[in-house]
Amino acid sequence: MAGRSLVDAGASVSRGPDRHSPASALAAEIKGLAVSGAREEARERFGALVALLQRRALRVAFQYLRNAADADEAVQDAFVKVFQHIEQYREDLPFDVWFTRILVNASLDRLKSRNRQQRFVSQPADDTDDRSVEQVPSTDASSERRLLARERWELVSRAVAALPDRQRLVFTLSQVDEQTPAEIAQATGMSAATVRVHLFRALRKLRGALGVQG
Amino acid sequence: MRRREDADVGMAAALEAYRAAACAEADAHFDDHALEAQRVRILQRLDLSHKARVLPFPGAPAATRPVSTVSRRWISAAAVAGLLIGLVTGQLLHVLPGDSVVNRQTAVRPSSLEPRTSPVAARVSAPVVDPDNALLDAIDLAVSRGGASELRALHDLTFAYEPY
Repeated sequence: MAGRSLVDAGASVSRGPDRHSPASALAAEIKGLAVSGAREEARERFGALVALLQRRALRVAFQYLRNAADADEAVQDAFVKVFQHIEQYREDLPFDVWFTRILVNASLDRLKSRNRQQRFVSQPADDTDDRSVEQVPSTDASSERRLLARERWELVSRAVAALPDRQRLVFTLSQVDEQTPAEIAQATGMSAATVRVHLFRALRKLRGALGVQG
Repeated sequence: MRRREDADVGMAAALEAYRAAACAEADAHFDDHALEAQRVRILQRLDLSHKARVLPFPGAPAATRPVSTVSRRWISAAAVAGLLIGLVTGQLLHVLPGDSVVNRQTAVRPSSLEPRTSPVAARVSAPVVDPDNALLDAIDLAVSRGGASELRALHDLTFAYEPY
């Protein structure tokens, strides 16, 4: 049950859907410009929206795809799709959820494309895992603690990479993007209960990988 | 109870560490310069997607452009219809008895009349030969008066002729 309590705790700590967020307001403004035919102005304002969400989107896409080039492409695809369909955006709903859904779909498309390529072409192993170990941030002065943190990061990172696709997606959105199960459900099309189950199972596996007794 | 709380704390700490490390890892791959470059590429893609239009295939001259499917169908339909009309008309002309007999007689008459009639009669039948008609009229008149018995033989020759 400890896993479930952590799921609930994560949900309560995370921010809820906000349809008055800066991104939502900006998206509504861009939609208004696009609808009125001021496409050039809409494009300029869209640059601001990209700047606002870009880093968060890249974090999610990178953690899910584990490849910088793929993450870059997925995020680009997501933003282009958002602009092309901005007139379909509903202002009564939070823009972040809509955007996350598009981003998740773009990441899944990229993942499928990569899997298809790997089926025919043998590619060299990705070196991102090695780099990630080197880039673990540590504010502790003690080298012992830094080593411990690196070790823990390696363990968690390997365990997350070994998760099934859906659990990894739910876990990434929950832990990296700090989304609530309700937001994840909206973004992925799963029910909130299914999201909780995936998250619970993912945490249980990670708990096992870290050797934490629950 | 105490053990479970410790486990939760340990797990939460691990997740917190994971979150921080994951964000730092992604940020290390995408620094400010990379973000700016990506933003520019996104806006360029928007421009391209907005201005994109379909160009005709290079080197295909307009004169050799194939006829559209619709007009090709019309041409085929007209050819088939013409063929059918021709066949039906031909069959009708062949089947209709009145027309065919008349045509047959018309076609046969010149050759079949020649051996039956004498050269004189043939000459008489020609409406344009007025001197002959005049001659025959004169003969008829002479025969009817009975004054020229020497012309009887000539009359017998031409008696059977009935102009149509």
